[in-house]
Amino acid sequence: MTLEHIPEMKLGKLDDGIATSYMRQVDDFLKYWIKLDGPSEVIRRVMGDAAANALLEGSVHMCHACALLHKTESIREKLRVSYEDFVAEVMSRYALSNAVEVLAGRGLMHEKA
Amino acid sequence: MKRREFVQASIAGATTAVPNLLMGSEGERVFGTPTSLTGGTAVGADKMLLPLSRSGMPSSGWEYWARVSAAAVDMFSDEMKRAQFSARPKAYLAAIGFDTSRATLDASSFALLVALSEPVVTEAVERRNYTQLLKYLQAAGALSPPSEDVLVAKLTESLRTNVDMIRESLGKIGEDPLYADQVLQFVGATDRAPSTADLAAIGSIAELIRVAPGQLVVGAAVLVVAAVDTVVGVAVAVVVFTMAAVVNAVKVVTLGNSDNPFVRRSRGPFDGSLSRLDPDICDSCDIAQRASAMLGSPGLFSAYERLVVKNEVRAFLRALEQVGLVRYEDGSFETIADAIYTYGIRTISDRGPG
Repeated sequence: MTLEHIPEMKLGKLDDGIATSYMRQVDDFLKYWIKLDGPSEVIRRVMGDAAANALLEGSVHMCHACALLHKTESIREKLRVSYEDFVAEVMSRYALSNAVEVLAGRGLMHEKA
Repeated sequence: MKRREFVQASIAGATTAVPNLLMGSEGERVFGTPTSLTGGTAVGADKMLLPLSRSGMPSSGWEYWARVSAAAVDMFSDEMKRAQFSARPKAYLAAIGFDTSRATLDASSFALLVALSEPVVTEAVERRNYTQLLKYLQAAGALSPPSEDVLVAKLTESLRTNVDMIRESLGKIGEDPLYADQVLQFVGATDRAPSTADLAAIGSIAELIRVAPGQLVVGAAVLVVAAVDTVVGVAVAVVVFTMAAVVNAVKVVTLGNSDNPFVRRSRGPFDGSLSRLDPDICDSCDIAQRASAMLGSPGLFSAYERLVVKNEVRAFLRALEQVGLVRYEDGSFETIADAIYTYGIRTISDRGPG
């Protein structure tokens, strides 16, 4: 569903080079946010509980919620206007989560020993 | 036929052979026709990008956050820094460049780092006391015990919307039930019989279940399982309810590591797959797994996994009750849930290596 319906999930054309297409995304805040909290939570944070419940009614899968997030104009508009308010907090949690992931891969207790 | 040719042929076939079907279903599609049927995403499509560099961060915002993350890792590698973090976690975070708003301080990853910086955790790991470790992580807010509520609601919703469709796909009309031989054919994958002890246990579980009027329990079970399968992708022939489930589980245990693909994908009736419907449980499992890896203690994750599986069994049984497929005698629910949970766990545990 993501590739079939969401243009934002298509990173670019092979002719542009895979590395270039990938690196174009690292500055996109929404990608980090979706990875961290999932699309339903992003909708809830941006739109508020009542509107999010109405928008997500009948959605049982994160891909559906992700399509809703990208294809609903009211959500897109709200995101464009307000996303900067969320950056510091979301990216801090993302950085913490990354730190946990690195430490998990390394093995905290083994490191200490 | 190469994959690309196959896809192209499928697309061509779909667009030329059944144009009316596509047109007719257009109104029912939530987001219109898939782009693979319309020539792909337009080069000039309006793509929404929310640049970090426009949010007051340095020009390459992601580089800043990568450095911050590395500082948190470094903190855990240094005994003194770790002690400083443990004593004043919020101040330490602020000093290395993190946001310290309530949302960040409430994050499970933060709670996990704080909890794991405590000496009491190290001591529990050294004693291999995973129950105490789990309790400590829960008390510290790093881990939440799995809850039934969301899972019951999701399973109930999926059952209500899919049962009729599944019945129809199986060639059943109205209240026309499935019979035992059909069920056995449906779930049968080996020629091994369950042991007499298992059959006795199955019988004792079955006695506690009261089937809803006009329904056969085995029929209801298959329909229910098939309906759930369409939502979470759990193998239909593996996840079966009560009698069929336990019989099947015994077969899987008996066969061990067979090359039979059916057996390879069998993980017993309840293995945590249904819990994917609840994002909170998924998050907690992720935290438990990471904590387990950080501490080098697989036993911690196993202890949490058991809580998840038990919660899943309870939620599934509750959902069955909610849609009216089965009901339970007063006071028997806990016994049924415990019995099914025990068999599920035994199936997972007994497979073992080798």
